[in-house]
Amino acid sequence: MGYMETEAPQSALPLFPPPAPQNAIDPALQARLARLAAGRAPRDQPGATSRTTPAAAAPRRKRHAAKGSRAAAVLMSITTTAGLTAYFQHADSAAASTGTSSLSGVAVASGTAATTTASTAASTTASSSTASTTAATQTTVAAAAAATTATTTTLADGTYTGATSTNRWGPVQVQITVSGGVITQSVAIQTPTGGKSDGINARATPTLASEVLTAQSAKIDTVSGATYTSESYKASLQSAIDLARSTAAQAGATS
Amino acid sequence: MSAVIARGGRHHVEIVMGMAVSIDIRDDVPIEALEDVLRWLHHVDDTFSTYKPDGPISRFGTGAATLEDMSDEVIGVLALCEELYDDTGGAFDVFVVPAPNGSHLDPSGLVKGWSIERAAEILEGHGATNFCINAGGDIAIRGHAQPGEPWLVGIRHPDQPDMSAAVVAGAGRLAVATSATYERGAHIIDPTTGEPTADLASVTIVGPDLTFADAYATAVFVMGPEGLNWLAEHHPDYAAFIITRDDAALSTSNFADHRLS
Repeated sequence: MGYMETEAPQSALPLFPPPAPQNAIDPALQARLARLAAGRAPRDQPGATSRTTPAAAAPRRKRHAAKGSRAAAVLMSITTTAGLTAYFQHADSAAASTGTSSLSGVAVASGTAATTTASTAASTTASSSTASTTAATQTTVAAAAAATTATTTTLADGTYTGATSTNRWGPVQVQITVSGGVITQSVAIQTPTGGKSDGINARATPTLASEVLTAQSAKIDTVSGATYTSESYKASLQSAIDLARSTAAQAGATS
Repeated sequence: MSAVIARGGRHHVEIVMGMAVSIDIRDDVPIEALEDVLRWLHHVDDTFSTYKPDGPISRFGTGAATLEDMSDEVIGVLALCEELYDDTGGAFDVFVVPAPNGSHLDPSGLVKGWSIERAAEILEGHGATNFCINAGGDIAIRGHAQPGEPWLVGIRHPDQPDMSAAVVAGAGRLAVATSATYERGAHIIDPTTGEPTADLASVTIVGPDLTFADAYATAVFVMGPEGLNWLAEHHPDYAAFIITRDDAALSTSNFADHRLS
């Protein structure tokens, strides 16, 4: 099966609609562009700001329909997303000792409480959840699953404290509670203090909730990610979705 | 009257601008809708590609042509790039990226989102109301995926290509753009150091217009987690979702408005 074949359009053909007319260009901006392109001259700093104080950048012009005063406070939801290999040390269960568990396997693990050391391989179980009723997707997922072997991981009930990770704004540490083999609660037990990140944390409400468990199994229509090359696209999940969708559309066209 | 492409819509993938552009239309639309979009995308490629040494943007960037030789379209895009440079405190800078044509001008970080927003307008001009355009991972959606059902956009997990780290649900007009290094390597340059940025695994921006969502994603990637504050203060109608190399996810509070799971 293939995609609809379309010849490269003739450039001589008119565009529809024509590109929106541009506003008159400020002569100063024209000079700036010309200088930047031709002179390789050092940039004028945008005011006295730099990226370390981005909030002090030039005031925003109302370009697009702002929806007004949606709460702007930054909620720093420090979550370990599922599959991200955060390593947790057991806090109150001798059984776990110092074993590290990849959270990637936790998402769908349940039942017996057996703490195992998991590789950082992809979660095989959760992968199958992306089978959005499409054969193409299933093919992709199956390949991934085969490559990761069976690294079933379950978590023993208890409370786990994550290793401290240091980001630009300071140390972050999270704690999760496991009950019945699944994460039932997660909280940030150490939030950054001091330094330039105060602006974030002063308004932050560190919440983890159970986000580590979610998002893996949802049916999706499309995938947002780093720009893949046309080559890597062929192996992407988006490609599989496109194939399935294209097939469905063609089937609909003939029915 | 134009022939209808297909009942129940049409799905098409076009390789253009060095990437795959997936166009998923779920309305009955005339074939001209798709043709016009493809013609537009190839025009953008011809005009703005830094891989085409004879194209306008290459000629301008390398000094083979001056600004006077550029069309209003090109000047308008460059002007927008400079406005974003100012707006982002220099974090978004199209004149710092080493381009394939040997110049220091690469507006690709803006052109992609901008051109896809225009493509969406073209489809709307043909009467399409429910569609999704995915340009190499940056997405503009309109309407619904099915009657009453939002579009579900998976945000790719940085380490696991087949999995989502989060899912955004969107209906009506919404854009989702992600900047990350897992596909093309450390290509996002910090203008203040000239070095590739390394702190974050991916940055996803959700908001009304892909032109800006795409540019903000690049800027926040450069800014690092502090970019959350910048976005919340300057563009509260946009939300950010960051995955750090330490495998933590950070977001602006309004990301919860878009997040399904």
